[in-house]
Amino acid sequence: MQPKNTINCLADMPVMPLTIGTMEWNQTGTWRYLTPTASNKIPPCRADCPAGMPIPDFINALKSKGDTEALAVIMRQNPLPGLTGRLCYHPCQPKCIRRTYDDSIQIQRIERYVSNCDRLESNAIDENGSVKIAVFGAGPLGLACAYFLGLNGFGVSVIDAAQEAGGALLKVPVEKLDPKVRVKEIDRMVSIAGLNLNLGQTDLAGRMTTIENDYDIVVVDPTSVEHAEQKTLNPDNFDPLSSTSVVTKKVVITLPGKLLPFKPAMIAHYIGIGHLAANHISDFIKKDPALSCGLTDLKEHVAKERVKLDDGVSAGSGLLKGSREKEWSEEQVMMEAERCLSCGTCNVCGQCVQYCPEASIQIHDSLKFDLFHCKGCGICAYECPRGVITMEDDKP
Amino acid sequence: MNLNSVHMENDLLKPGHFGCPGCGAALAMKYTLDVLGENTIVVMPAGCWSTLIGIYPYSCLSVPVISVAFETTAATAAGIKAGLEAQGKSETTVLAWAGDGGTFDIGFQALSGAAERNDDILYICYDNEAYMNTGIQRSSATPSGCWTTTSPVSALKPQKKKNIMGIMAAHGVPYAASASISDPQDLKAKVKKAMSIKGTRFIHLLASCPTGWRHAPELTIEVARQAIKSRIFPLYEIEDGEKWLLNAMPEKESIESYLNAQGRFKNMTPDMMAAFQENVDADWNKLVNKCQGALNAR
Amino acid sequence: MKKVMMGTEAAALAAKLARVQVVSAYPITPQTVTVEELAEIIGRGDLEAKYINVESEHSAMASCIGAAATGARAFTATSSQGLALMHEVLHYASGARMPIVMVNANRALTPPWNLYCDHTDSLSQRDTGWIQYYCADVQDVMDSVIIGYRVAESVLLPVMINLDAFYLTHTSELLEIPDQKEVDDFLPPYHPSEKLDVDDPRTFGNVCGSDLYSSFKFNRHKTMLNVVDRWNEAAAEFELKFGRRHEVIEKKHTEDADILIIGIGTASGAISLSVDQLRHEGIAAGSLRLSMIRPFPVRFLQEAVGGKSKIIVVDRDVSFGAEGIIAQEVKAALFGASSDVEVHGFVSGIGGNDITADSIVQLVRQTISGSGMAVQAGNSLWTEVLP
Repeated sequence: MQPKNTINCLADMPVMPLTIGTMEWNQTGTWRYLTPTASNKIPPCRADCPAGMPIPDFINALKSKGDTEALAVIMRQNPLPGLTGRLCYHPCQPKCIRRTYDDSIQIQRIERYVSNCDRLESNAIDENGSVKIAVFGAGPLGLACAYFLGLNGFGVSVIDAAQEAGGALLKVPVEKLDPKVRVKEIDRMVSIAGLNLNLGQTDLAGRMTTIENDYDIVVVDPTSVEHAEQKTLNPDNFDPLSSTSVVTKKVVITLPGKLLPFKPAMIAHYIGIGHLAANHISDFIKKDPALSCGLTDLKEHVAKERVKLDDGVSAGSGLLKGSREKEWSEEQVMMEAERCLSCGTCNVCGQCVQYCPEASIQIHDSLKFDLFHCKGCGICAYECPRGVITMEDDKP
Repeated sequence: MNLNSVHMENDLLKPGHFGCPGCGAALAMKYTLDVLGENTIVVMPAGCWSTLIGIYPYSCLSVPVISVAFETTAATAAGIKAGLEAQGKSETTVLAWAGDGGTFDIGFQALSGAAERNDDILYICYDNEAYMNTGIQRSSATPSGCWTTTSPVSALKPQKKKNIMGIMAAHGVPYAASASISDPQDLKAKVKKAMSIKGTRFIHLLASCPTGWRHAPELTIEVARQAIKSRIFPLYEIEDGEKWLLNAMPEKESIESYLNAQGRFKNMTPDMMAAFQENVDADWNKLVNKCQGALNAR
Repeated sequence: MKKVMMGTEAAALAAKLARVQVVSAYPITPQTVTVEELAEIIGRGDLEAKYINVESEHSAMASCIGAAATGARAFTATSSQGLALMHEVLHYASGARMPIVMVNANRALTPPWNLYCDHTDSLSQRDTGWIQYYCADVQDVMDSVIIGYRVAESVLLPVMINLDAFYLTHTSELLEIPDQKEVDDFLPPYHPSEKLDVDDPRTFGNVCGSDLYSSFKFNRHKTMLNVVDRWNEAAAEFELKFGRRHEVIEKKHTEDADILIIGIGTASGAISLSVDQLRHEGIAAGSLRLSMIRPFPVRFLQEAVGGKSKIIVVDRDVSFGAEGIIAQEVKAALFGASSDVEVHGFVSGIGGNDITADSIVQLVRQTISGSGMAVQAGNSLWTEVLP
């Protein structure tokens, strides 16, 4: 970069020694040994979520953009937040880093609130519509698998013997799960993923071979196909939790023992396993080696020490402690959301911008480092309250 | 509002300056100008800032700045204010911006003169506790037991840091405050408050220095934070030289984490450290006694 | 309007007529009357200006620089010790191209402590880049402050108006006070194109590389070299308006003189009288009063000296280890111009010793005869030394 104005001859010189331009042409970026990079890291809450929910992300979206956007964030990872928000045993909450300061965030409450919002837009991509996939079983596992395949643009039909979708969910007591919520949740996810529901299909076990011919891939939830006979199912069962599983035309999903029989509290597990299965199948169809068998493409976990627990942390909401109402008000939810520290997840708080002595960090929707000027001092990385920024060895 | 959300008002400090990586003084100016805005004229003497600002004919600041002889900051600022007022431009803030050398030592007379006259200037001393620009020499703002090139290991500085806030209080200036780069919200609130007052306003601003204090550059903010937590640099305000207000302070920590983070203190003997702690405690108690009533939360 | 007043009062009145906007005031004998007068003038509203009671002369000059940098017309006054204290900032003022006018009372430097007339104070500041003017009488004080602002603001260099301690500061003379409207006409308001301006934010005077630094100095030096002509132009305009001529060199009987006596300040009055006396005695003497020492009016001096072979320079000052400063300047100016000129330097009148027509005649006699009361020390002959 060259300075805009230069002094080349006596005639250019001002009488008084007054400057004529800024110092921005000066490439102080050549000074540094370490370069800051910003990348979100997996917080402990998400690490323990069987569905891999992007928890700080959706809470941030709720705070900055509202419940519709928060729901969109959730539904990229979890098709049934209204169900997890009511049934799940929330393994995320005991891991919340905030718990060492005052109390864990009541993540499930926030998720439930967000799930109550109405949303009708689809975010499916259409490019792979020619590939047809059948999913046998409209329980949470099958629905989740179908949902993620649908989001990837495949033409997915969900086939079930029952008249209603839901599988084992249909047997959950009304006190635990209001049927209206179940219906709304399933309708919504079906609409968003563009799924085809073929319900009331009796004698599935017998007709499976015939049905298979109409599809490129068939996915089977063995718990949902009634009167399943061993010989109609693929003897090689498919374990989505293993990175070495091989996808064939017929994928019979194996569930770990602890998830059988269906337990409502484990709903996030079924969703997670369905998602993983969908990932494997998508990679197989697209002929991509599975880049990640995980539920997220984030690589690192954020260390607890990197999350700042003192300065600037707003006070705990003592009055929410022990609130036992079925539904929280918006005010309560937002107060609780306010307490989330967004561990490992950039919430564009701007602390790095503020603390940079070189004025070399910009925030619009995301973080941008001015590497032409950044001297690599590392203050941004040290001060980031969420451990998002790290200093890396500068590559030549 | 997001947790910890901050917002910068302007970009009057632009990148490309010569400050060391992690420079606390650069941050100090950035925060100050963020509040003062464009209608500001800065007077700065010889010091880190007059060098890091850039090489002629270029400058990293987008407000008018005049680089003046070392002793003259407050006097030049007084002249600038008079010149502006004589021309009917009384809204422009005149910011006298000097380091500890240019304030506690060589610039002291001019500061005292301006304060006595109650000249309408905002004087901010960015204190990195030594003559850093010339390569880390001791000033009267250097703490006791501290290494500098003119108070070397064989002759560490015995004297305590000069009590500049007490001196400004004795002048009866309308507003004096201590602040730190580790708490920009507090600093900005104080600058804002100073802007609403006429007369000589003084802010003593702790600006850590990785190069001179011998700490890692990423710890610039953290070290300044520790100075506050250990009560070595308490945050308080003095109105009209009489009303002392202690700002809300974080939980107290011992001086050790502060001293141990910095190479400049590593030659302190245990006796010196004990004496240091005693002084910190004694000064803190004196301060608390002077401060009226409850803590003044911003 | 005619009035009787002292040089210091005239200086204050001139500052008022020049409509200065900022006055930095610090007392030092014998200029104190100037700042006192200005306090009254401003206090009773005769002049709209800011008055800063600074705490030292160093701050006086610094605050003048600050005021001038914003585009205000600034004024201060000092003497000897105060001027010496300002030394650092004198360099700053001229380097910054601030058109400040400062009145300096020429007084001896301490120790030993002496309040009386001596030119070492300002002459030892001749390298600071200030225009230096030396007044002959009280009218000259009043007029030169006004001409000083006019020249300063056109070339953007500061001007030091020097008046002899007590001979001018505390001697009352009759003078003609210029009319305010006429002065306004001669000296319009100061509106610089370059200044500290929030609408055009720039940094003034930060660290500069060698190449640009030398060019700044070059430009400044060139401008300074032209000041003699600028001053004479302004003085010519002043004469048209006010009927009084103030030039950089005042000549008397120089055309047919065998021996020229050069001096500055009020001593030139005595020198002028001595010329009459000498002529009466048959010695073809002539005199030159230099009113400007910086820039040194080389061309004018060379012309005035012409082919004269004997020159006496009366220095009310000395540069220790060298000689009288004016003598040195004269020699440098004449070097190569006149082939066989003799310059006889006398150090006379320092520390307030009177210079009279008689004492000058003695110097001339000593020069001609080769012997007299003045004592040789290096290149200078010193009067008023104990035996």
